[in-house]
Amino acid sequence: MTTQSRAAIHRRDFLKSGLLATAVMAMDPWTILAEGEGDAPKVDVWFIKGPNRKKQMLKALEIIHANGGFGSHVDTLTLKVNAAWARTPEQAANTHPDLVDVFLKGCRDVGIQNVVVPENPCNSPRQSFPRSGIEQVVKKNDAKMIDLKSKKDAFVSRRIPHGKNLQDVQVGREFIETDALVNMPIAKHHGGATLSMAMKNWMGAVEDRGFWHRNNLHQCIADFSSFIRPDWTLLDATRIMLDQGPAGPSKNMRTPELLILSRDQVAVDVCACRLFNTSIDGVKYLQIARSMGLGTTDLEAVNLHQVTA
Amino acid sequence: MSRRGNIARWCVRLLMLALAFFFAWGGPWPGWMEHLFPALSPFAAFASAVAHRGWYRAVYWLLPPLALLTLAVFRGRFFCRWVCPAGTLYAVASTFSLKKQVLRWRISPFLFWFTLAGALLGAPLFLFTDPLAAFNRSVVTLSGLRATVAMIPGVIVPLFMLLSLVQPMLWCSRFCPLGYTFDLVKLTPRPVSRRFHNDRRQIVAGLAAGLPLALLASSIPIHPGRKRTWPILPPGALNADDYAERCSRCYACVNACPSRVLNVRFSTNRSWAQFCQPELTPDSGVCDEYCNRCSLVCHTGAIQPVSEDEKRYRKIGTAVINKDACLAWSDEQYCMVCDEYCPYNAIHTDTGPTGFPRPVVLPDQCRGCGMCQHNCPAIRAGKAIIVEGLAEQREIPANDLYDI
Repeated sequence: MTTQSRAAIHRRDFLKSGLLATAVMAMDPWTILAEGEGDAPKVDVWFIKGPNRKKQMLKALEIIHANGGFGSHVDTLTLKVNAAWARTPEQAANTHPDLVDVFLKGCRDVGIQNVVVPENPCNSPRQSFPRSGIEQVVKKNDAKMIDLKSKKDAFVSRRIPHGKNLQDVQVGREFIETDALVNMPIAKHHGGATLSMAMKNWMGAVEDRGFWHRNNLHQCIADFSSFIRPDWTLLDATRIMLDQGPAGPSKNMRTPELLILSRDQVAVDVCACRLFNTSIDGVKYLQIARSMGLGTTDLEAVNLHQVTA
Repeated sequence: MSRRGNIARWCVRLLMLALAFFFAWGGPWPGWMEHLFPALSPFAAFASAVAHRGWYRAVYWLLPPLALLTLAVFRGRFFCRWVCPAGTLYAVASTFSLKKQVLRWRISPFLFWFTLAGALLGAPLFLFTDPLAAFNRSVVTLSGLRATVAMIPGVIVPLFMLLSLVQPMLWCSRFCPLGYTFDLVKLTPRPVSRRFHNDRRQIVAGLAAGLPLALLASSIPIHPGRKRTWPILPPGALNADDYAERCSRCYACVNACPSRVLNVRFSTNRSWAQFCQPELTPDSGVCDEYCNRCSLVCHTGAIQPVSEDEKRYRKIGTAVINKDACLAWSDEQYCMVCDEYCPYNAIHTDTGPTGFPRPVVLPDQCRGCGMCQHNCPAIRAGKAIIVEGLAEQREIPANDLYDI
């Protein structure tokens, strides 16, 4: 589903509910959805806790399907993992392959034909894809891992209408031309961005990351999040590094054993801050997201479900 | 030779040429293939052993050149006529030759002794004369080196192909020191003392020219006015001078390098002995943390084999920050990309008065892999972090910054 077509659906929902059109057009689709439904303005976030990642992901899939799944007529699903670093799963720089494995199997089970996993890795894909363990599980599940670095015509140009610093972006084609989009990042410390979670993970979807660093990284992260809207975000917080991120290795590790799930990626990030003993005030791009009105930045507006798996 | 024998020989030669080309072109095949042909040369083995002042090669890599040498005792230049890929190319060109005998003097003895004398004193330029290295070099150059300077040593084979159009088999009959090696060891009725007799003038001239030239080459900088710097060398190279003198410029390592960080160019300014040697150029790639391919394909021992684990603790350079160009130090940006990419945790974060994190290199932790330089996003005043080479590589002891 493209961003445009999704916006169209939400617009239809909104018109049905009969609220003021112009004021809400510029607002976030999830906010619109929540307000459109009237009685429940809160956004759902699930904290799925457990020692077994496979069971956590099965639970997450269960919740996803109980809450609208990936939409109707989904032939193609694009999954954004973090497979950027030549690090093993234990070192917590990349999304854990067990989560990816169960997720991909779940996609196959509900009949999604094409699942692609594009990534513009930081380390060479020869090193990071296999060492992360993700390449193996993608192959095992008949999905397709795409190295955006070496692929020809891998990126398409898009304008970001609400972007302040980042207005033109070259983004991986599969992230745009897809029926469903899922973000599955890992939560970790980050030297430049403070924390890397859901919103920061999209840096692996674009061609020129350097531009972001030269033009206020935090603003660019928020700008891109105003543009890209995944259907679901699944944040791997099963084990996290508290320093030396994003690549590590770090000896300062914690194991919250959490998988955080929501339709609202901003809400996921805001909720995940607490794992690092900080809040929205400690992360600049979240503050910018708040001032831009992206997603749900108010914890009061979050309907938090604690689930064990 | 009979007509049928001739056809058989051409078939074998073209097959060998195709194989040599295939291996030299590089690809996902194992490292031993990429240096199989250059490693065949007993001449290169001998000359680089002289440069090492000792034996350096694993025993199994000693066997092929030894076998060729033994073969030469009985069959002379059998290798030249049946296997040598450079020879085959010259032979093809020679079939269209004008057949003029322009150069009557055979200077291969001179080149042979010149090379050995140079190797004794640490001038590597003369390993250039090995035809198998020259062939490999040409193919690698063809397959796409970024540096135009690599064309200079890469052009030997094409040049002599052109010259063969005038004088057939010019290289093989007049220049080739490898062919001379085979002739030297061939059993003939002539007594050994007579063997050197005809060439005695060239032997003396080769030694006499090679020694001083080697001395000059290793002491004169390429750009005399500029500061002398050290190159960043592939992990497994011992020190800059030894490397320069032992490298035959076959470029098997350049081809083996998956990230294209190994390149041919005058990046540094030590001496002419470093002429067109493979060096790391972090702007074109990075020396991946878990990679030791280049060290496995070197047949002259310029790069000693190091395991993947040894490589991760090997210091090949040191990153240096140019604060004036740095986004964090000068432009008040949240960057720290160097820290992000550094696999060894060699960038320390300095929190300045304004709260912007700023990078500081820990030189004892930095391996010089180039990850920071390659990914540095600064453009206003060029890259803000540059890796500098070392006179000598060393091991970094395990520590709790990296070994977790």
